[in-house]
Amino acid sequence: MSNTLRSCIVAGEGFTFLSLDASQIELRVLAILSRDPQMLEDLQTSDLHLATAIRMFGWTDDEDEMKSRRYKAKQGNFALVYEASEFKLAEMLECSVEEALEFMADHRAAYPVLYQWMDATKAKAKEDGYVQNMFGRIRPLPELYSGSWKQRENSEKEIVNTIVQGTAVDIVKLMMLYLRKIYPSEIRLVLQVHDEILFEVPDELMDTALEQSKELELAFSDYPCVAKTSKVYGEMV
Amino acid sequence: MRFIVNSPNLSREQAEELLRTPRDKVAIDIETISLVNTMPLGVAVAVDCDTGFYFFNPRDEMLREVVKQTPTILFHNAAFDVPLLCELGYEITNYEDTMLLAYSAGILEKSLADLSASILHRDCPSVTSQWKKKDQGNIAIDHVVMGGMCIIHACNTYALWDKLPKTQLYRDIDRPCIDLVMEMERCGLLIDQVMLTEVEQATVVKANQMELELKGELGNINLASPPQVVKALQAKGILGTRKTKGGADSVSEESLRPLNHPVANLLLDWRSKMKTLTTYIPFMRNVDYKGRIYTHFGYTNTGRWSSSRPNLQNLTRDGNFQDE
Repeated sequence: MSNTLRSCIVAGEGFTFLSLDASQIELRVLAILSRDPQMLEDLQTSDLHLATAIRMFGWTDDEDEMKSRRYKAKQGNFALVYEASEFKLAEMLECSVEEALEFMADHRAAYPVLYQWMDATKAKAKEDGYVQNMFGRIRPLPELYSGSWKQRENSEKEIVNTIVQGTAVDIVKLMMLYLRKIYPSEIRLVLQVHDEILFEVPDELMDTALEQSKELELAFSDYPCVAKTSKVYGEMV
Repeated sequence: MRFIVNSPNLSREQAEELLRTPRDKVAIDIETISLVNTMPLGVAVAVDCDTGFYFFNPRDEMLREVVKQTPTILFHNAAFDVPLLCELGYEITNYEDTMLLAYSAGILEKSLADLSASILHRDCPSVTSQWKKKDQGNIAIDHVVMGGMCIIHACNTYALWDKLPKTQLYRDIDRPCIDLVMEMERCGLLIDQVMLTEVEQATVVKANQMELELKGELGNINLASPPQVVKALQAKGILGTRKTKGGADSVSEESLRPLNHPVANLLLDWRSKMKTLTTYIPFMRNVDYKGRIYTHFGYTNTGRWSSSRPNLQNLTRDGNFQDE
């Protein structure tokens, strides 16, 4: 048993946790909003980060080398969502700033439409002074016009992140509302951690819950969820 | 005194008649002992933007009648008030929430006071202004004064509802999600206290080892004191990447992590263990009679929910709080 605080969170007697995780939802949202054909194609594969690695660095039969390329691609994909600077990326990849800059250029070349969309989105936000996500949720960004370059820079970083993160979480909220409607009331909603929804399910209803979660997949086909169960939150499989 | 009304020209009979007149909505605000102790002390009902009543007994039969006969009840932060009223036996069939209405319209101010000022251009006095000391709660203060303030809160909630746009986002997502937030806050999570003791013991041992190791490197200093840590790190040639507002070397995570220096990393890991011991474990010990803990959800600027007291979203994602 892993010795973590999560392992101290347990389901009540006669209950089991069911976690539904909308995996890589932010990258999916980014691909859908930008309509980047390459990223949309890569999301069709079972492993987005591997697809990115092949697109950026090519394929090799050397397993270790491929693993390392996948790891780099994964860091790059996340850096993209959070708009990490070259310095942050260098820290994440444990490489020099020059190498990080080169990596960023490669990532941009792999998904050109996506970066065009990001640039256009930023330009529009600077004109409007606010951003709006897929569901019309508005976030004013007055600091885009701040006299301080640091505040302006921080605010600019919020543009794409707010749209992508906000859209993703609104989709998760719609998923929760959908599940709440179809699940019997004995199934308790107990926690939401951004992309993950956690239910406490009476043991006799677990099969029903798993079966009904397939309906979710049909209703939200662009955003697949991974279902995991366990009596202990720290041991979901 | 059963209730007060903010319209002094009304006779008692006229006030009662006004209160009993059927209407499509009223706004409600509840005064509790404090934010932590949420035992209701009194309830204000606004029947329009300017007229309200404050009941000194939250179980008052007349109040119960008003709630029962009114199709829609307006609240500012319903996730706080609705469970309290349900606990008192009220049946709330339909409610709306002005905090979420503003939120879904892209207005990021959340407090009733801020929204009253910016949207209504009205005052919204805080009951905390009556407290003689911090965290006193609504104990030993003038309840007539408090009731008057509570009426203003209810009237402003009513006025906000009339003034703010009813967006599709509110109807489709933010309003229905209040029920989900209330469900999560009500259900809570069961904590295995035996396992928690094991985690606590292992963390104490690990934190002690780290402290010894750090003192071997930095000398016998107080590791929780930033000035002492800065001095000791500087003596070893370790300089943070950021400065504090006062211009000193910062020993924050953001300042030290990029150094990837073994001593700086050890210090950060020690701090993480101490955070587990002093923040997370006490929260997880603080269970109710069912053995469960209850987090509280807030609303961030992107649309995400935040979790606090304790932050279970950080706990589950941030490896720093795990003891490998």
